[in-house]
Amino acid sequence: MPVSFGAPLHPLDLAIIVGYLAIIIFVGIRMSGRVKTAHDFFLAGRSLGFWIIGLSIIGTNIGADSYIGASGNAYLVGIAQANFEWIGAIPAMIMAALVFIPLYWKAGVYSIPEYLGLRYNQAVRVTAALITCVVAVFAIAVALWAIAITLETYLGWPTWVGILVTGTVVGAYSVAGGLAAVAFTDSLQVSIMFIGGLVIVWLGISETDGFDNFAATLTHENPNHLQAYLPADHESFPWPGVILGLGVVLSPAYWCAGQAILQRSLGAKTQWDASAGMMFAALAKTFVPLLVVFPGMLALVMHADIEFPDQAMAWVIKNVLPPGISGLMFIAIIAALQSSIDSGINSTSLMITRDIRHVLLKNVDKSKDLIVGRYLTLVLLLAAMATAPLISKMGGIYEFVQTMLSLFQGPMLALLLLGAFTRRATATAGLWTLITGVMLATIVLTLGVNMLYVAFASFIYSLIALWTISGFTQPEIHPDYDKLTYVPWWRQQQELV
Amino acid sequence: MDLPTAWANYVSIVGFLFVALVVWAIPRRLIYKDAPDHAAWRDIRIWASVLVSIQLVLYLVFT
Repeated sequence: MPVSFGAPLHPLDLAIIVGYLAIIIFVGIRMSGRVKTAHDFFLAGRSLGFWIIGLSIIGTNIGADSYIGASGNAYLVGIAQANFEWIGAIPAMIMAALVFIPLYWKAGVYSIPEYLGLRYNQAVRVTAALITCVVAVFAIAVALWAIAITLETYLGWPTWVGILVTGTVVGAYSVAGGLAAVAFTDSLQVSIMFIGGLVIVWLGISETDGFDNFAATLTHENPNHLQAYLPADHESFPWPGVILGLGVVLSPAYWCAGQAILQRSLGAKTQWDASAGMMFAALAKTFVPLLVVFPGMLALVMHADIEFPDQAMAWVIKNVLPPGISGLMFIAIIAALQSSIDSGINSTSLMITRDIRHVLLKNVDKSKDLIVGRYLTLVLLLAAMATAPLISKMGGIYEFVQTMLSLFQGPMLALLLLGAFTRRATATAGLWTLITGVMLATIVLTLGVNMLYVAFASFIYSLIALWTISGFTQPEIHPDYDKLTYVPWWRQQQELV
Repeated sequence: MDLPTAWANYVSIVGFLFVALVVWAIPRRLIYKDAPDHAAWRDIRIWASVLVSIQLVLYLVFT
């Protein structure tokens, strides 16, 4: 049961909410004037500066599970939850900024599946795009449902009204303005998130009589809650699993190959802006635990009267924040969810338009990409709006889809790494590795092994399999290796000289 | 498994130090590729070093 706010909305909160919605729609409509081609719609006409890219990446990253789920987990395990923002993000983001973004930039692609298609073959491109699209539609529906529940809890709106209003607002700027509108609104939304989060930290520390008292109370009752890692035999987050599964496999797969994340980097003004944008996002990411982890621990210190850990954030908003600021924090949660939805529909629309439509349809008219992309954005949003009410009834289906996706992460990362760093990997080997890697991961998962170890095991297997099978097979096509594989720094130096 | 939890912090710290070393192995010329100017603040190796330094502090404090 969600925490019920009961009391009517304070006029100041209402004014902040209405003002936010007006600004978001205004920005979207302003941006729509700049969209003339599919290039403008999907890549913002390659016009984005580094700070917009960085903020937009964080907006896309902080999603339905962050505010509610991460604060709930922090209530249970403490600061260890922050590993998802630190060791489980920062090294991979640095690698993305300095290695993969320059590579994608050099290849001149719109999407990561397009890169895989050029490096391997079109079958790999379509497969990668299909998997990503299916999961994205579910993720958008879950985010819409999460917003509807939040609006019901906070404002007493029926869930269908919440879905309709959110869908209309997000649709207005996403369909009209494309990636540029998405990125600009994301930037605004992330700024609001940080303001709201920092206010919670400030007031929370004040309520608990300073940080020393906060830390003493927290560790007195929960001695492990200020330790970055949990014991090696912990059921959910064993530290070897966190480092090997999250740090080595899941995080690089997400930050170096995630289309929704990297699309704004591909829409950068220059390669420098693209790389700097990711690095700027990493700087912001370092402080995201203040927004999503601290409230969970604060609820614990303040002995929150909640039934489930996931209610920790709602309890903090209700009990710590004054009127006006609670409206701002409410907006921050809605903004986090909206920024994931808009990025999801824009990147999914791109992959269907180019990576699936261009490959599967013969004699496709590429001049219609813009109109097709806009229609698809609308259709995807409507599909997610129709699916959202079913999410609560589907129960474990979304978790099942998420688990399925994580089964692909190890093999997909192996394909990307060996494809980008070597000329040895072949398309045939890639396809076989993908199939057998996913099968292996499924078998290991059914044995009850922690998902983090499953990801690591399937990744190591896939690296070995791809390397070995490639030795016995020939590439179907001969890619432009100079453009599609990574050239080490010392060789780049020689080429420049 | 009977692995001390503090090892995780040590592994993380060594990992981040390795990242910092690799970052500074990248030539300046490649870092500034396409950059509007060569101002010192545009050297994203410095940004990466700040990032790594913060991570080192975090994993030293929360041991």
